[in-house]
Amino acid sequence: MMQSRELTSSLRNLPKCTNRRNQHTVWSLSKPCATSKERVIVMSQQVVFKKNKWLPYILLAPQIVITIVFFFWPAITSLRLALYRTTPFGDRTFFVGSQNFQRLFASPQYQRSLITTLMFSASVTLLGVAISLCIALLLNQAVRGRTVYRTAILWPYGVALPISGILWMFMMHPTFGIVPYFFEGIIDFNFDWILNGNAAMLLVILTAIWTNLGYNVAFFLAGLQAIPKSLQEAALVDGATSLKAIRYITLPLLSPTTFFLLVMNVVYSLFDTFGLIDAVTKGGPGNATEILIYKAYKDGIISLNLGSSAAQSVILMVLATLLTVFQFGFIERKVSY
Amino acid sequence: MSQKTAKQTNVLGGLQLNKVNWEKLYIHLLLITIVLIIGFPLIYAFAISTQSLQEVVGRPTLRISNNLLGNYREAWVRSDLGRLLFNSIFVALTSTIGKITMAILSAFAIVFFNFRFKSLAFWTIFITLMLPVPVRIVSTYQVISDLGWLNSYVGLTVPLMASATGTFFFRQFYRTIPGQTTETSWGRPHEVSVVCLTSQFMGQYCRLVCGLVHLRLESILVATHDYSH
Amino acid sequence: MVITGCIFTILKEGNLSGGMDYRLPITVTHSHKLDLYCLHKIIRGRVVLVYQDFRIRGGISVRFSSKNLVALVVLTVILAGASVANAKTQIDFWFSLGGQLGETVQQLVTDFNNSQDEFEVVAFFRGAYAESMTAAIAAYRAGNAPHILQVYEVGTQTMLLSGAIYPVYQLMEEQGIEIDWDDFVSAVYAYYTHKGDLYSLPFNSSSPIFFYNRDIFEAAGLDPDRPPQTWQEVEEYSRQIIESGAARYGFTTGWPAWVQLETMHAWHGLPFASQGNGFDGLDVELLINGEFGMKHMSALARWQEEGIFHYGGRGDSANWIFMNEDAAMMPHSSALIGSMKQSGLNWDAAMLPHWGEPYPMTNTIIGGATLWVLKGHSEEEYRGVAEFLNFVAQPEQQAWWHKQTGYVPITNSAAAILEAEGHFEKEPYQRIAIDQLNYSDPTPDTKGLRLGNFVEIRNVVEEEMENIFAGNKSVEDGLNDAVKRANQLLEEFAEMYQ
Repeated sequence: MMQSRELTSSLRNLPKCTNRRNQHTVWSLSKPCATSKERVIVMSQQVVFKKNKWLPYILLAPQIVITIVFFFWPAITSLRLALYRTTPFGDRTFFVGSQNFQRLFASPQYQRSLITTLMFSASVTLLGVAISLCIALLLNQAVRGRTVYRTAILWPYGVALPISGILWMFMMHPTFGIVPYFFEGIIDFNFDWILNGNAAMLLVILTAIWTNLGYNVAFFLAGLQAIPKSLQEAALVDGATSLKAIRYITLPLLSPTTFFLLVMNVVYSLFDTFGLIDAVTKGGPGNATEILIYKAYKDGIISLNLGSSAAQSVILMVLATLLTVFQFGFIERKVSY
Repeated sequence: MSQKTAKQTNVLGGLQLNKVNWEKLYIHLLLITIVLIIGFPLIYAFAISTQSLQEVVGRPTLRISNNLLGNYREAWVRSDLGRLLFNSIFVALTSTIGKITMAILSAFAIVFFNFRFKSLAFWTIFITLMLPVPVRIVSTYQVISDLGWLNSYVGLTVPLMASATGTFFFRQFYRTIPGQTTETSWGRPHEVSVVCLTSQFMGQYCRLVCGLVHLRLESILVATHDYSH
Repeated sequence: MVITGCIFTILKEGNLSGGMDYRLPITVTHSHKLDLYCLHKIIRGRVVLVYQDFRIRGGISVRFSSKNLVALVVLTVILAGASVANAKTQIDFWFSLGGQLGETVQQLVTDFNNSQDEFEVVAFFRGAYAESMTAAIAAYRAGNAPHILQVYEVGTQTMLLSGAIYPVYQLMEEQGIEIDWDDFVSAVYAYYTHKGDLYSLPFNSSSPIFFYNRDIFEAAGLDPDRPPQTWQEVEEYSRQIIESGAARYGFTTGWPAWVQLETMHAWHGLPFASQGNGFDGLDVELLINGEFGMKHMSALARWQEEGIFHYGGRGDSANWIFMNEDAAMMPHSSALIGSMKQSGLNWDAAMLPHWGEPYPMTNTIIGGATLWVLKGHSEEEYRGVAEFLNFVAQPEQQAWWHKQTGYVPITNSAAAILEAEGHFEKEPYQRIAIDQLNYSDPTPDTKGLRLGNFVEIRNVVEEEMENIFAGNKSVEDGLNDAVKRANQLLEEFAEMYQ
């Protein structure tokens, strides 16, 4: 047993590869992951319990049942609803095939919503990740008090989005908010987000970025700390400036994390911001902040047009699936455990 | 080249030391500014929460006024915050405990057993990552209404208990436990879960968990041995 | 890790009969199988609380220790005893009024419950009108709809054609309760009748009136006893107020589409939509881009630019502009009277301004909500529903309700009681809404509005109004776009009911 402990800890630093069926954990002394012929050490087989045939089913049962009842069943119902037009109380239903989808793509409001969502998502993602990267780089330099700074930067992540929306609403209120008051003389911008669509977009974008900063910074920090300092010091010795070192060494090594965060932020801005829009602008003046997911809610629950709402849900589901598959495929390959 | 190295790393006093200090100071200043900007909404919210209505709708200031107790008391009473807080804590606790329990159990089943529907179960669970809640909200509402769970704690907690991310994390954790051939044997599968349950409450990420149960790793190795091959 | 036992938690605070008012976090569930199981467990000395006769809301089970067992068994006996002794038929009433209005509703319900002991009406605040309607629809589809549902006026057409309702006139007939339908205020009655019969009971009906701030008027050198009577005067007064610095804006408005377009059209004797505003058929089109609509919206857009009018958002969003004394005047629902009284402002109210010639001064249309009865319940329960609705419609109750809230009394005899009490002398602004509704007999164009997809249509109209006020579209384009989109919605609605 003593041997195993020592061996385990010394092996921890070696790159590990798992074969395709994830049964063997192979520590390889050569990089990239060797094929089975070049395997150096086979450390373990995946442990499998063979005694109880029925135990796995019992263990899985609760989760599977809940998943089917609350995930699959509503998803299938949504899919089915999307093919029908129905009165709110359900007394009349007509099968219309893809007419809901056709009407959706033809309607200028939906097209407008697509563009709004695109702008919103792009802003939140790109700006959010860029700002978080800068903050994480700075944070990585500071050694003393790092935990204090980190906590101070992380805490907005714990605030629920609708609450931060209300917080920012107060801050950016055209009459008694401190931000317009401060910028009144300096910038010529109409902060009245009840009438000015751009002001409303600014409000929700800033709130979404602010709330998610903690999440991004945390992941960036973890990624930065996985980069050995020796690399950067070597670059500095070779005469590179800090900026060049960051650009050519840190950033490429950080790219898995960056990619992961980009995808997560897109998912966040597409789906998690529903609460924010509902609490603050409800689609905004005109429909300036009506993102896809809010429109699906509005059409379904407020206007009681269940068929169209279900069609929008289906489109969003497809989008979410694509993003998840994309991320999973990439992550499973690049990030090693 | 080596001269530069000497300058940057070996000089203890004089110009070099000052240069290092300036950089550090600069970084700390920047960080403090950033922290202030990020924390500004909270500071502002706190300041407003101590002002009276007239002050709030007047010219905006960061002044801390003296309506602190009055405002908080009114907020508590008007929105029945006690009840709301209780609801939030209750729902959060219940769904978290349920979520972790289920994740432990199902990840355990997926990793340590080979059974006929293993892949099907695996993908059933992970496909839920692709179905975010707001997308299926209308139909989920219908299902919960059909069950009669509207407006109840059950309706709020149970649907959230099947979390694919939880299962994902525990699966990763279980896979990092190497099997080992040794002689002694004790322990049963659910005791492994108990260990994981305890450690889960102490750490957040799998690696942390791994580190904390490192001491118990032997017992786990021993336990897992009992059922290998 | 197995969880057993039968602790059940009561999730809603209830008032058990016999005056026992408990607020324990104990849920009760009703399930035959579970009962047997739990009974078995009680005998074995391991379980806790079993209860019958309560609505299922789900249960949470946790294992309990024997220490608490005694206390809870005692509780069981008490509760079981209390319930078995007085089993009232429960009637569910879902409403959507919050704040002070909500408390008044609860008081009304309590008064009814105390006046008899066969039925117990339980009132649930189900969120805003839109959410509560969705909840009711979902519940109806699941087979456990509430008995009474408060629905806003824009949901009328949806409810009427849904096939899920039990018309009020039919309910009263079949329960043998005599109601004098002629006693109802004609403007209120007309909105909710179909082929001459009343389908839902008007509950909180209001009409927009014109609030103004007496202090600002005085400060601007205007006579607070002479409020503006025409829109031209509104403009004049506003200019004077702004120039004197008494307030920032002249006026703002609540519920933009309802007040400025729907009500204004009716007030000037013009139709909002074709086919008698939708009463006469499903083949309807909006008419707000006609000459009057253009005139009124152009004026508002011009005033928005000049700062005479300031758009503050939909629904109640603009209230604070008036409450903050940034605006001197605000047309808004008469239901706001209750909050106005508590606001501390020196306010007053007047009739809505009118453009004058060549438009006649007819009557306003009611807003607010009504009570609908849903199908799917037992005969016994419907008797309780009928009695509750009858109670609500009594002149005394109507008079009390009006005094508490500012909503219009729906029967003439209720108005007569208030008159006799001298109520209107003390609070003359309470009369205004009633006067406006009764100003003339409703014409086919001013009976009310009955449009399908009306919720969405109102949103569309307000969206285009916002585009106009923000300067993104011209008045003509905005109104034409609104009409085009609304017509499409009306077409889609008609399709489903051909």
